[in-house]
Amino acid sequence: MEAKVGRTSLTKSIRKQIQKDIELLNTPGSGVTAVEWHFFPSKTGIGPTAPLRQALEEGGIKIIEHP
Amino acid sequence: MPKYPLFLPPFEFANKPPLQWSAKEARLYFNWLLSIHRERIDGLLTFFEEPLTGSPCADLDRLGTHVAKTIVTPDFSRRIGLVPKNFKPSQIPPSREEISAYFQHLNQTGPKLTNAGYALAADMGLLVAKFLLSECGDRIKWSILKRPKSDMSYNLPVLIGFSTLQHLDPIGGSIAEAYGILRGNRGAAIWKDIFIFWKEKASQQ
Repeated sequence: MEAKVGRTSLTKSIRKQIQKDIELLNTPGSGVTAVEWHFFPSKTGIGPTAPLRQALEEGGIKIIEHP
Repeated sequence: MPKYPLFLPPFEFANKPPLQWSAKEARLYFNWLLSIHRERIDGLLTFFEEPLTGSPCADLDRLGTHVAKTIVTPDFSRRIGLVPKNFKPSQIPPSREEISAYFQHLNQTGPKLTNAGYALAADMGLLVAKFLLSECGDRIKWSILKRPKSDMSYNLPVLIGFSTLQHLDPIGGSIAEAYGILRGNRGAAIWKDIFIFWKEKASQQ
């Protein structure tokens, strides 16, 4: 489970984090069988930007928003 | 059906998280695990009345099917009564502590392996390790994971010697995959998949 607070976009470091999660998810025996990214509100808003949402969905990462 | 033999390290320190073990404790656990490796696998095979055939994939397929059916039964896993609650922060943005408490709550929901379930999943991991060690020769070996300290398998016995990926924790990984079966994210073929994936990684050296 990963927590993100506020509106979150697909930066270089976020992309790297997604790649790592996908690698673990696709490695049998890694100890990771599901990945969830939880988005919490802040003054900047909440949730992933469209490119980030797409990257997460393509990687099989579950998006959960807590408005 | 007979009771499944529990996986109980004969050390008081084993009740502490491995992160808190001393180097000496990690070594004691490592030596103990290697000393009971064969006995645990024999117990697994006896429980399901399945001999090994010489084909790791076929054996893991058959045993994986047994385990996937068995692990969901009440002796091996339970569904605990906590219902996931909605997150209601006291402030916006929520504090780190609030988020952490919420994640802790989520971790306590859903299915839980019983002690017998843990033992069964651990033994499947040991069987995968046995096959990898016999198929990959001296390219891989057991070791105690000493870094990074943030790794889930810190202080625990792992297999090392694979290309690109650093190590396989066959026991921890197998237990996590058993949870995957309970949650519907994984199927009976997972132990065969672990074997094939890591055997391939060992051969890429």
